[in-house]
Amino acid sequence: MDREQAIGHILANRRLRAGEMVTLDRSVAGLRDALTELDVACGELAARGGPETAVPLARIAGSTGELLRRIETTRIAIGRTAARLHRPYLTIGAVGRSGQGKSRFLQSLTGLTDQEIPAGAGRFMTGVPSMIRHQAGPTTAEVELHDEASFLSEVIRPYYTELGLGAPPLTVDAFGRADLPELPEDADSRHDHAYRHLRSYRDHVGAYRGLLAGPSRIKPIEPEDIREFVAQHDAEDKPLHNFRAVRRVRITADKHELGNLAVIDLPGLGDTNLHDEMMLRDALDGEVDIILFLRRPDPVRDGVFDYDVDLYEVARSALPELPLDRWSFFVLNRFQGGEYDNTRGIEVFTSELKRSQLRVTDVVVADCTVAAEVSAAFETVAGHAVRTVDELDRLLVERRRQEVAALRAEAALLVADAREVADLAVPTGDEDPRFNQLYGRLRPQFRRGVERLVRTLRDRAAEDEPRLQREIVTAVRTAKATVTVPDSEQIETKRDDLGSYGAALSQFADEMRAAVSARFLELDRVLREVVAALHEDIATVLAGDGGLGGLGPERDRDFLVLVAGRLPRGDSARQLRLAFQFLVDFRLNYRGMIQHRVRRVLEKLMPDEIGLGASDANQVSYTLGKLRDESLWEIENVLNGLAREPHEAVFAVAEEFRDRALRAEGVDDEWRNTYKALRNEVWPDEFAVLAENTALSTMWNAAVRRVSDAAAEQGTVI
Amino acid sequence: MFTKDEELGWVMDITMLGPRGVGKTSLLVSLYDQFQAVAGGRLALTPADLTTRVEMQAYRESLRAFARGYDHDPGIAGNARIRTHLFGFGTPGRVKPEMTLRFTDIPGGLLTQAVATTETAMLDRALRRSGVIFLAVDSPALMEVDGQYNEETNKPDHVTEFVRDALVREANRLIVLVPLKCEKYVATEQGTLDLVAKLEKSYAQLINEATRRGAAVVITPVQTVGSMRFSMYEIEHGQHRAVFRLARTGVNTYTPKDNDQPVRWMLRFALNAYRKRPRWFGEILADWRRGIGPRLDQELRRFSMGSKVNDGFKIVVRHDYLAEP
Repeated sequence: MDREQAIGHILANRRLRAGEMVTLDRSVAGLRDALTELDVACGELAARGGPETAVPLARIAGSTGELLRRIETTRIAIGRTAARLHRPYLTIGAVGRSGQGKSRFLQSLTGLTDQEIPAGAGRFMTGVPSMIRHQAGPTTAEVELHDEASFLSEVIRPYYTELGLGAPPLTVDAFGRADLPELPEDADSRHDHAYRHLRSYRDHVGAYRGLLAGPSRIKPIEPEDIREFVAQHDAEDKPLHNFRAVRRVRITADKHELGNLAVIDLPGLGDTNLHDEMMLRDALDGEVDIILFLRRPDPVRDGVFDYDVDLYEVARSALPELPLDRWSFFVLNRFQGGEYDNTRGIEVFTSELKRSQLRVTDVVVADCTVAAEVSAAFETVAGHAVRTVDELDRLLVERRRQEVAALRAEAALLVADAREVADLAVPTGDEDPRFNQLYGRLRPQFRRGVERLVRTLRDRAAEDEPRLQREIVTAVRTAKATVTVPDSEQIETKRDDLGSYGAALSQFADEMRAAVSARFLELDRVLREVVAALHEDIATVLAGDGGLGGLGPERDRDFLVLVAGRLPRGDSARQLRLAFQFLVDFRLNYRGMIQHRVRRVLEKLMPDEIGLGASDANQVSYTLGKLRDESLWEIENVLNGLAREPHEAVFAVAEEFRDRALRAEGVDDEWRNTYKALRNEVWPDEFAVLAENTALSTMWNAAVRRVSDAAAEQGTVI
Repeated sequence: MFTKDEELGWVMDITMLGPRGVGKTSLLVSLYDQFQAVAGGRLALTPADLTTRVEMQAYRESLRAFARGYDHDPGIAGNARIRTHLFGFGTPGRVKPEMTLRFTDIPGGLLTQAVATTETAMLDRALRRSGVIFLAVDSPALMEVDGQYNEETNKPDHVTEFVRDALVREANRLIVLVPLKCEKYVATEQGTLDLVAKLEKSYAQLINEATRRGAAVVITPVQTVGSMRFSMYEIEHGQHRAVFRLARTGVNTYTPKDNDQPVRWMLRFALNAYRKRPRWFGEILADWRRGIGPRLDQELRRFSMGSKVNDGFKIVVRHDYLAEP
C-alpha cells in the first residue's frame, strides 16, 4: 500500500467514524431534551410538592443542571471531533517563531515563492494561517474573511476578557467609535503588549471594516496579492491592515508530491498576541493531524526556552485527549558554512530537548533552503502520519464514546434518585383500612385473570400458530415463484465463463442456496408478532383485572416495562422485578428457531452433495430444478413441523411468569407493596387527596422515564 | 412348503403381499432381471407361462425408462385382481426345470375391499400353501413427512391381519419385509438405521404375532433401480404422488441392488425346512429330493449362503430354518 492508498484508507475510516459521531450527538441531544423536561418537572413538583420532597428535588435539580452543562461541553467536543473526521485530507501544520525558517521550509516543500508564502526576513509577519494543497494547474488562492460577528467574538472579545476590560463591544461600529477602556493598573508588560495590539485593531478599523461587511466570506485573489492580506507591511514598509479581517488563506499549488496531504502555515507565538494563541489553538484542534515545531538553533548557544515550552503547551492544550508526543516533530533548520553554521548548536539543542519535558515523536534536521533535504524530512513525517493518524482517530472516537457513556451513567443514577422522589411524592395517610378492603377485592380478580390467560395459552399450545403457518406457505410460494432455474443460455454462458458444466452447476447451486435461504428471513417478523401478542395479552390482564390501566395508555410490552419501572425500589418488590424482567426479555427469532433447520435442508445444494458430473446444459437444468423443488418441499415440511412451537414457547413463558409473579413465596407481599405505592392511580376516586397529585406524578414519571430511556444504550433498563 | 403338481412338478409357493402401487411387480421384475447376474449361471430362473413372460418384458422396459430419470415410478394401472406368476427354477440347461416358483400377487385393493368369493378363496388358498410371504413396503410412505402417508399406503395393520390368519394355520413360515424404493435412506448409515427402526415400529404388531407363533421375520431392503431416489411428494387434487430424481447428476443407468436377497432368504429357509424336516414328512420330502437332485441341492446351498445380514438386512425374529444350511 503506498502513501496515497494508506491515506485513502484513513479517510475512509474517518467517514465511518464521522457517521458514528452523528449518531452519538443525536443520542446526547435526546438525553439533553429528556433532562430539560425533567428539569421543568422538577420545578413544577417543587412548587406544589410537600416538604419531604423539597430536599431531594433540590438535589435532583442541581444534578440535572450540572449534567446539562456537561452535555453541552460534550457536544462541543463531539462537534470538534466530527470536524476533524469530516476533513477530506490529512494536514501537517508547521509552527514556529519568525526567523526560524518556517516559511523557507514551506517554500522548499511546495515550490511556492516569497510571493505566496511571504517570509518575514526578520520581521514579524501575522497570525493568519495559510493552508497549501496540491491541485494540478496554476497556483490559486482564496481568503476566508471574518464577518462582523466572528470578528467580534473570535478576535476582539478574547482581548477584553483577558485584559479585564469589561463588556466587549456588540458591534464593530461601537468598537470603532468609543475609546478603549483603560487597562487596569496592575497590568504586566505582557498585558501591555496585548493592549497595544487591541488598540491598533481599533485605530485602523476604517481600513479593514469594509472586508467584514461584504456579502461573500470567501474571496478568490491573485497569488501575487496574498501578501496584501497576510502581511503587516508592504514591500515599501507601508503598513497594511487587511490581515486583521482575514481568517484563513487557502492556496493550491501544482505539487504532486503532496498528494492528499495538506500543509498549514500556522502562526507562531512570536509575541504576546492573544489572538494568535487562540487562532493557533483553534487550528491545531480542528485542522491539524501532525504538528511540526520549526526551530533554527543558534550557532553558538541555545536551549529549550520559555517560548518553546509555551508553544508546546498551547499545542498540548489544543487537543489534550491525544498525547502530543504521538503527533509532533521538531524540525531543526540547519545552516551550514560561514559564521552562521549551527551544526554545533543543533547538537546542543537536541540534547537539551532530550532533557526537557517536551516530548515529540522525533527530531529531524534539514537545511530549509534545500528542497531535497526538506523533502526527505517531510517523507519521514508523512510516513509517520500514515502509521499513526488512524490510531489517533480511534482514540479520539473512543474518548467521545466514553464521555457519552459517562453521561448516560450519570443520568441513570439521576433516574434512580428521581424515582424515589416519585414514591415520596405520594403522601402516606391513614387510608389503610380502605386500601386493605379494595386490595382484598382486587387480588382474587387479578389472579383469576392471569390463571385464565395461562389456561387459554395452554389449550392453544397444541395448535399450530396460524400466522406462522400462513407465512411459511407464503414464503414457500414466493420462493417457488422467484427462485428460478437458469435457462439454457444462462447455463451455457456460465459454462463458458467457468470452463465446465460441473463448475457452472456448482456455482448455480451456491446461488440457489443463498436465494432460497433469503426467502425465509421474513418469518422473523411473525415470530416477533407472536411475542408481541403475548406481551399484549399480559398487559391487558394487568391493566384490566389487575387495575393498573391508569399507569399508562399502552397495552403492549411498553406497558410491562412501565409497570416494571413503577414497582417499588429495593427489596420490597425484588422478585416481581425479576419476573417482569424475564417477561420483557422474552424473544423468539428466526436465527434461533428456524435458520439452522433451513440450512440443514439446503446442504443438499452443496456442490459435494450433488456431484459434479454434469456434462450438458440439460443435466444442469434437471438437477437444479429437482433440487429446488425438493429443497422447498422439505423446508415446508420442516417448518410446518414447528408451526406450533411459538405457541409452546409462549405458553411456557406465561406459565413461568405466573409461577414467579403469583406463586413464589413472599411475592404476595410484594404485590401488596406495589399496590399500596400505586393506590392513587389504581383507585383514583377513592384516594382523593392523592388523586390531586396524580397528574403531577404522571408528568414526573413520564419525564423520569424519558431520561431513563435516553440513558439506556438500547431498550430499557429496569 | 412344497406341493407336487401334475403339470408343474414340485412347486414352491410365495405370496406377495402389499398394497397396490407399492412395487410388488417391480420387485418381481427386477428379481427376474438380475437373477442371472447374481446366480452366476449356476441357477436359472425363467418365466414359465406366456402371460408372465409378456408382462415381465413390458414391465422391464418401463423400469429401465424410470431408471434413466423419469420422474414417477411405473405403476400397473387398475390391477385389482389376484395374479400368479410362474417361474421355472433350477440348474440351467434342462428342458424342464427341477421346480416351479409360484408367486401369487395379492393386490392392495383386495385387502380393503369386499370382494367376490372366488377371490377370497384364491387368497385363502395362496396364503395357506405359501411357506414364504413377501411383504412389500413403500419406504417413502414409511419415512417421509413423519409417516403421514404410511397408514393409507402400506396399511400395516390390515396386512398384519392377513398374515395372522395365515400363521394360525401354519406357523413354520418366513415373512420377508421388503422395503422398496429405499435408495434415499440406505445411502447413509443413519438413514439405514432409521429405515429399519421405523419398519420395526410400524410392523410391531406383526412381529409380535410372528414371535408368538414361532414364524421367522427378516428385513431385506431392495433398491429397485438404484439410480433414482425419492425426492418429494406432489399434491394434486388432494392425492399425493411420489416424485423421484437421479441420485447423482449424470448417472442414469439401471443399477438395482440386493433384489436377489428376498429370494436368497427364501431359499435358505426352504432348504433348511427340507433338511430339518420332521420324520413324518419323510416320504414327501424324499420324493422331492429325488426330484431336485444333489446338484440343485448344492447350488441352492451356495446361493442361499449369500444372504446378507448387514446394511439394513436383519433377522428380526429368529428361526431354526434361518441358520446357514
